[in-house]
Amino acid sequence: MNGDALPGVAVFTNSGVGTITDEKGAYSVVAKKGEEIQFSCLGYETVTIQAGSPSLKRVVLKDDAQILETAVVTALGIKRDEKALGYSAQKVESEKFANSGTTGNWLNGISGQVAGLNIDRGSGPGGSMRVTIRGESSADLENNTALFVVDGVPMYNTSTASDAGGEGSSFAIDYGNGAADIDPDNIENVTVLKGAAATALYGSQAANGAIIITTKSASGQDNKFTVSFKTSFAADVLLSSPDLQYEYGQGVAGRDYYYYLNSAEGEDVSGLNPRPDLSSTVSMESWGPKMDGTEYYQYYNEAKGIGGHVDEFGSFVRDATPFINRGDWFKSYFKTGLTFTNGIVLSGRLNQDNSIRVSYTNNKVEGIVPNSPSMTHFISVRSSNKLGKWLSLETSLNYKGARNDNIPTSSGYGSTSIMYSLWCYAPNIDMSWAADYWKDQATFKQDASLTGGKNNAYFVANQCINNQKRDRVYGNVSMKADIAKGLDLTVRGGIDLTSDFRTQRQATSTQAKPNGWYREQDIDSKQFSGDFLLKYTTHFAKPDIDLTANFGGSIISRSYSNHSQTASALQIPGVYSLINTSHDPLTGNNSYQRQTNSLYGMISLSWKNAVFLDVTGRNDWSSTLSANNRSFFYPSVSGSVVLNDLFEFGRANGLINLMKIRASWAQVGNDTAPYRIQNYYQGTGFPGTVAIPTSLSNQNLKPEIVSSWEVGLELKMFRNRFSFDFAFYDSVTKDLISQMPVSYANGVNYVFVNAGSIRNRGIEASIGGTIIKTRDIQWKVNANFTRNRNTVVSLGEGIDSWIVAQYSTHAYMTAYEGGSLTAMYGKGYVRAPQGSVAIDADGKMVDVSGMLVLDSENRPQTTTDLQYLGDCAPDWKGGFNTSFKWKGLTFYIGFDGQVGGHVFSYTNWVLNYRGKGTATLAGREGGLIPVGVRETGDGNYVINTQEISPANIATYYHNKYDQTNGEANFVSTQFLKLREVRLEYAFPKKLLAKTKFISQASISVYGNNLWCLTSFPGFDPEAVTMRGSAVIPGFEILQMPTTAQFGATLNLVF
Amino acid sequence: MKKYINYLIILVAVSSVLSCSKFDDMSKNPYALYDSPSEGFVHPIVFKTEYNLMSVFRSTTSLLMQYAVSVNSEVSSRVIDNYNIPEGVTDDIWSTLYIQYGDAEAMYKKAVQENNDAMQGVALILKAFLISQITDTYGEVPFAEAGQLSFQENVNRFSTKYDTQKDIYRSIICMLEDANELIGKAQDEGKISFSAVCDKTFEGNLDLWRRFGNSLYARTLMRVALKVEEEDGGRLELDEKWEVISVKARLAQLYHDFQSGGGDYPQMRSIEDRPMVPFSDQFEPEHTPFYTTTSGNWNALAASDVMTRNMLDYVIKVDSDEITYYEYKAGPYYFDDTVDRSGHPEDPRYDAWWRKPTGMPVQLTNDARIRFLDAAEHKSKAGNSKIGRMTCGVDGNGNPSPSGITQKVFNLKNATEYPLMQFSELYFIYAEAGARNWIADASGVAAYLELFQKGIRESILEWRPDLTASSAWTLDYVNYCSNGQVYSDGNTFNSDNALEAILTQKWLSQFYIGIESWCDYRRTGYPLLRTDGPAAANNHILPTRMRYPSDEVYRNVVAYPEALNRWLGGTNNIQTDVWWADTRISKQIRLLGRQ
Repeated sequence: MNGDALPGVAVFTNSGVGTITDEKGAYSVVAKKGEEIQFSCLGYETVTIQAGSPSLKRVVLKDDAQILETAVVTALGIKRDEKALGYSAQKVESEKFANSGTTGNWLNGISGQVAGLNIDRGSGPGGSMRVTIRGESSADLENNTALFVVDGVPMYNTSTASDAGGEGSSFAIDYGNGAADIDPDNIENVTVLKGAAATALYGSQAANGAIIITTKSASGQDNKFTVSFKTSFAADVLLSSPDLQYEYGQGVAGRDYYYYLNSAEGEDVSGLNPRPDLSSTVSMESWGPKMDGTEYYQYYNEAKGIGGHVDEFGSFVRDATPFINRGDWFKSYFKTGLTFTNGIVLSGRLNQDNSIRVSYTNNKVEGIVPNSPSMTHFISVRSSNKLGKWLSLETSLNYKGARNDNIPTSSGYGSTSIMYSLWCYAPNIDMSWAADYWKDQATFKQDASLTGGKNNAYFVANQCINNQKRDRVYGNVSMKADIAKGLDLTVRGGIDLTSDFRTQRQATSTQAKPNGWYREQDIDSKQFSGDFLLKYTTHFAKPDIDLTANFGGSIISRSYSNHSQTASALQIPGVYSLINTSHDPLTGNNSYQRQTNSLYGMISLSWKNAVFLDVTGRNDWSSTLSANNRSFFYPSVSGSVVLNDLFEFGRANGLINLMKIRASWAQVGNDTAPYRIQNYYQGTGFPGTVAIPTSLSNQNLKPEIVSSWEVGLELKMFRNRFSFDFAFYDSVTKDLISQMPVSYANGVNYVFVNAGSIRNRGIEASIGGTIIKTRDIQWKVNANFTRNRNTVVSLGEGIDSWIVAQYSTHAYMTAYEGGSLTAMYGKGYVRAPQGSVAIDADGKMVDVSGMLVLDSENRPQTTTDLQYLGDCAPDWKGGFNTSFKWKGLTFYIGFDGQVGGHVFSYTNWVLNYRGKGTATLAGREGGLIPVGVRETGDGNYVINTQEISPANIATYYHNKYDQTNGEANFVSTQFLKLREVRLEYAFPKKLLAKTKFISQASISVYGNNLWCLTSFPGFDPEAVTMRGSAVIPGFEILQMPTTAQFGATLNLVF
Repeated sequence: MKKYINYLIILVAVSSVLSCSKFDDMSKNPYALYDSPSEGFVHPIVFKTEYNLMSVFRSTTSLLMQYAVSVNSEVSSRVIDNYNIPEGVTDDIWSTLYIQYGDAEAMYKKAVQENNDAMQGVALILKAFLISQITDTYGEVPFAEAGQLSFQENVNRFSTKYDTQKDIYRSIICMLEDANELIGKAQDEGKISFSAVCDKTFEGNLDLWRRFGNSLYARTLMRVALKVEEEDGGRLELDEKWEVISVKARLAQLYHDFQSGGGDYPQMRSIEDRPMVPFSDQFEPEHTPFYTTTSGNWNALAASDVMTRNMLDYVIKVDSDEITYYEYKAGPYYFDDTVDRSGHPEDPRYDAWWRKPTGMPVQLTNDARIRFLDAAEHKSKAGNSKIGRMTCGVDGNGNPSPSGITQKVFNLKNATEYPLMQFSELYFIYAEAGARNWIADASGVAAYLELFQKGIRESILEWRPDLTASSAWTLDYVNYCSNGQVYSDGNTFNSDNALEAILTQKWLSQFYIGIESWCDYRRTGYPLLRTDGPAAANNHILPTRMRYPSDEVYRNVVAYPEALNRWLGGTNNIQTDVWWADTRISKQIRLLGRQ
């Protein structure tokens, strides 16, 4: 540093001879020629130099602060010094994505690493993820997700879900989100740009923050050609299971017997019935008798000899068999998921000016649901060439081809979903009975009798197949010309093309489509983008000012088309072709095109390389708005001061290496989706007829404007062994474009309006330290903390509340002025009003306010009015991770969690309402006395002493956990998760050198999502349900189990 | 160098200006329809309305009006037959029919723009029909401001005012008068039809539309007659154009035209004139609401004993659980020519609706209901339940069909057409008007008995196309209702029990017709229904209205609480009578169900 002599540097040779530099920095060591000598010192980069090299005379050690002054990629691909940034940008290195067993969940790699970032997961493996940064900024939840940018070009991620067999929008087939189209092995690093100031230059698409992905290239590597190879394997097993009861079997409420009658035999069948006085008690609920071995007539299958025997006349006679617990009905449905990934990279820096990197990865996955395989191929080419003295060229081209043989409709409450079926089974069922899902294969009839008439879960997985062939090509070519001294021009063109062919099947005899159903969908999306950036840099020596001016413009043109054809009944069962329809196929067309043109500029000033100021301005023209509102301008200002470069804070002693304060203010405009400014008629399915749209367009829509300011502090101390970053932000979105619910009486459900404003205010902090650092051992600890408060500042003239999202009429996410956007409302229990009293058993007057008011049959009741239930957003979130390195061995462990947060849970409902969970065991024998009061009719109350009999226990639980009772099914999502554990061993180079051809080798074993501490009654407090085309927070509608993933990876570089 | 930069700036500026002019095209959806003739609205409105009404009948009216009892133990927390009806369960009429009302309003505006009298008339009939269903279900509802937002593009009103039911009914009558006049005018000008593609119910036949509109008019006048009689002496003020009408006089005029089959107010002339809406199980948009209903769910409704008592010959029994029930007396119960039915013929419609002859007592507590279903008395020797379920068997080819009389009758679950309104209803309307002495021509016992008998006969033919007016069974049953059946006063049909007889038969005839029989019950108190069974809630009052949807409080922030406070005493209850049901005579008779 500064050319000063450095005392105390450890100097070692390969043979282990060592010494330490003296106060003048001098040293002497004996080494053989060709041997390597290593210089290491706390807080400095270790340097290795061959003995005999002339540079040994003056060894320069860079201090960590200098190393850390790295460039980050900011908006538009502009590389900036980290210390020059007036806003918060957090970088995550590639190693964090190395554990992605499946390509879909590489986002796990940033989960818990970045303060301010929130991920809502669609349930199930490979499910969609919804990434939001610094809270919900708009009333349109689908519009609040972050922008993904790959190598400077925004990705075009269109909606990806398809409704499940025409059962409406309450749940969907999750085809994954577009971010899954990135090969995690190709990611060099990811920068998360959080505030509006960071993204002001990206404009409206990045109003909710941006995730900037830089892919790997060969330009940085040594002047040679390498081949690297990676192979990995991962297994997914169920992480956890709700508390299921294994004492009582399937059955109808109130009956003390069990009798299986195959439903299609009908009630008229006589003579076959061994217990003629009983009809079937098979039910999707588990209120049946105790599984104590009592003999009942149970499931039978003549062909397989289950549940009966062949008598002397050769006919099948049913036998009563013991009613017992036959094991884990739930877990046994799922398989161990398997993921195999193989990748090869050819990377070469051909000479000083030209480099190329080609990679190929394939990914083969067997999901946890039976019959759900998929195969994905990635090919990437990235090259960089210097065409002449002043012209250079960068190209990046990526291909992803996915072949999903079956994407099951996994979650959601509707007959086509796997979980809907699965929750009908009970422990008295041996799941192998259900696995043989045919009742009569010749006539294509499923055996749905064990689920009380709902679809057989195995039939859904094996016959109701949804497949997908998806091809995506994206990339860009960028040319940079050095026009004059300090002036350069970058011109870039990008494409992003996706072709997606999907088929969906509902087999004949399914509940939703008894006559069969088949749909083909062709989904194509295209994005063409072009931009230029003119950059001028100059230095004014006198006041020591650096000036950089950028001026640029871009055109992004997007088109999307979704053509579908549906056969609503099949002529021949089991033949899935549009020709096999018994009526003209229904056609659907959902297409749009849109374009945004922009001009923008930025002026950056820095004084003494210590005080920085950025001013930006951008004007957008959007095709989605009407001519009057189409053009909108927004500015930003940001600045930072690096105090330690201005004042002496003991940098020389390594006390303070960086002390930076930053502040920014910015506005970003946000346009809307296409075709919301003029009404057009909707098709109705009946040729030649029309209907008006249920959401009303609005000519006067104007862009919503996010204004935010942010202050922050960054500190690095003790030779960079300790780092701290703190940010406070306040962001207000005005003129929210919302789909405002209006009374149905208007003939429309929604009106698009600009109304109201939302504020997000929060703090983010991260702290990191290197606790031990020696030549062989390094122990690092990192933690981060995020807290965001969302407030609805106003809702606009004459508007008191909005429904932001809802599930049926059971639960609502509703915004009130002064409340939070994510506040949840629903019905609750009827309770005695404040001040109510009753006489207890001892004749004493007791206060019974707030106690449950029971009905005439002593059951809890549900109110008719809605009440506030709680907020679905957490109070705060945090992450903690630590890594320990000893020589070539690295151990990493990461936790994250949240405090507060709730969800309306249908899994909770199904567990309790249907008697599947242990919480419903109380009172099954001997009854129970519900806690509560009853009205006496004259406005007074008595404390209940009456019992619910075992015969009525099911209706008691039915009332207690009524579907419409939001309070009963509103549960906490507070959790602490062991997100990741990883052990990696890099083989010593010395050892590898002996092989002559392997230059690097490492092997790692890891586990993702291994443990979760939560009171959440379902599978995963983080997973919510896909609805329509989006993952909507706040509602968990029969989620899929989440898996723990165990994997191993081998990396070889030749 | 500067030159190049200037060129570049100019280039970018020019290209963005050029693309901006392209933006006007781009902001319009090239695949969408921005205009359509008014007749394009007709079929979707009719179809979705009938779909909704069928589904409401099965889920709600069938239970409220004691056609059926719910025996689904898997939803025991919400039992409509016991009047445990939370919000949300009955939102369908509101959320579906108001959307259709918005379409009808848009259709009307379009027809006015087109200067198309015929389509204005059809739109008014649809509007009148829809708003009457909505107000009859919920009471005071938005009307004057309803549907007004549809297809507007400059909206700044988010609250929608409620109107009194009396004002709404005034407008319904004006709309039906206008519709009759407008379609009549179009017919006079030689227009007889519109596109059959847009109207699968009447295939564009304007004469049938006009007849349907005037039949609704008869229903509408009947709905308000008792109330207007009590409140305003039978005179109802309308608007400036139609001034004041005497409800009775207008009803008499309609009766005259009904008898003649023509006149100023032509009405339906036969079963063939009924609005029958087509459905299909082969084409998704035409599925019935029951397309996905499994046989298990379909069987979750059992026949109520009120139904079996009124349709079959029974003996009163007490079962081992001390529950009184009615057992079918004759056997075998399926129609069989060899059985002597002369004493008490079974109602021919029973076989079209129910399989098995025992009905469930209404409003049992949950465990009593389970015990009743399980009791040995209610099982056959083979162990099969004797309790009636809606017919949905499977014939030899695996197609749904009622058991026993395969494919001969209407199939409740998978029919290919369902009526929006029955022809027989007109006979019952005029029989009631006759029995109440409102129509001179129909006021003698003989006159309204004849109307009553014709009503029963047409209703049988509506449900049993395998029978004719002269079939022995039809004749026997019609004869039995007039001369054999004993009503609650212990007598056969006479002038004193005529209203009960007529409205009980009308109740049967309204099976599967939306909410119509529930409206009749609230209006007249008939049929006599028990409302104080062991499990009955709601202060033993058969719900007088449905609760406004629970999200209305969020969607209609200002007007909703106003309406709640104006006529419901601040709570969204199901005990306040709607305007036309709030009569002394109706309340008196409804009280009979509470002993």
